[in-house]
Amino acid sequence: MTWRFFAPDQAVQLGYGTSLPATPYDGQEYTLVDSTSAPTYQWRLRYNAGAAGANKWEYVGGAPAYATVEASESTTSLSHVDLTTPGPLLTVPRAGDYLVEYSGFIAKLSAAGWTTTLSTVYVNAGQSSPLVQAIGTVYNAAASPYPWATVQARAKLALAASDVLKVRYSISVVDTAGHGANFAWRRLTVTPLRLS
Amino acid sequence: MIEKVTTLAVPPYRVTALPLAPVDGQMVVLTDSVASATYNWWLVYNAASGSAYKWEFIGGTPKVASNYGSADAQTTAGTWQVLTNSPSCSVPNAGDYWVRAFEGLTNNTGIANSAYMGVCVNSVVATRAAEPGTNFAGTGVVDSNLYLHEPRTLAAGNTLNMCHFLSSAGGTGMTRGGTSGVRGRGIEVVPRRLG
Repeated sequence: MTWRFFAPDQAVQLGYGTSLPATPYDGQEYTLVDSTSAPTYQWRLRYNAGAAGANKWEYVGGAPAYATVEASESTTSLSHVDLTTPGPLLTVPRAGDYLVEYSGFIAKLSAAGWTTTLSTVYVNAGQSSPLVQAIGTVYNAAASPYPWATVQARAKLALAASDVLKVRYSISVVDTAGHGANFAWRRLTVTPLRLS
Repeated sequence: MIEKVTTLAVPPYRVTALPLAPVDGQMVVLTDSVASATYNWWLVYNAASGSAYKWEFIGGTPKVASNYGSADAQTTAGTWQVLTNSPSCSVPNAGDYWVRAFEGLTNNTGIANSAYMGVCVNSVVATRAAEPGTNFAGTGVVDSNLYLHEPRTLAAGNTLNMCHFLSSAGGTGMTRGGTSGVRGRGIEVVPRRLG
């Protein structure tokens, strides 16, 4: 029998960087980040040579990429628009399948009416397909002294490298005083499922 | 014969405390108990990181605190409260985390009402990061759900507590949580990077 001695630093190191290996081998693992000095996400991936299709780097674990807009901003638009602070928005680094999640809060701060709100993820210029759309209804401040509600949606999307995800907003009804709805604590997260 | 092996040949050590003198690229699995773990977090040490939290999360399950069995009747309005059966869980290390929380609730007041849910630290309700709420604009008993997903920076040993607020205590107040999945409550926490 041959005994092998391992120092901790020898035994546990795997690849880590901002781009995946150009010539991967089956079973290779690698941690993909956007920056080695200030990473905003880290995705541990395993290369599966036997996987059908181009997306052979399979997600094993890690922290999602994310973007947030905390400010409460309003719209009276009946079609999807950017608010004063557009987004949140994210650019994905590689082609692949991703799990996209949006959560946020909506409010009807005026003293009249109600409205249904839509918070919709756009991919580049168009709505995502399938639709990632958080729907919620809020009532006026007179009927409810703290007229906030939570909304959330998630779906798997097939994305291309450098696709930009951005959340846009609309409402269903403008009240008689011309008020719309507010959106706040807007959070967009993206986790890969498998990448090319 | 002693042979030096430079490629990955053994899985990372499972540890209950992070190494004091890590090297770049070192990996460990941080757990609360080797014998009875409630979470396992794979971490890699990034010496080049500009953050104080250089152990970066690359996989594992969230730490979960949930309560699907015991409801609380909130009958005090106008103040944030950590209720008797509110879920809570602590974090082992300082760092950046993702926190997810959810709650089902029922309005028993018979009047228009509003309810909030938050996550605070060490039962200090002022430390909640956000105030997600919902409307009960109609009358009668109404069920609803609350949800939040937020990044938090926490200190070692911090305990996250679910906290609650309602605008009116008329009637019998608000039932928070309950005996079925419809009205369960839970907190999930997973690190982004640790120190």
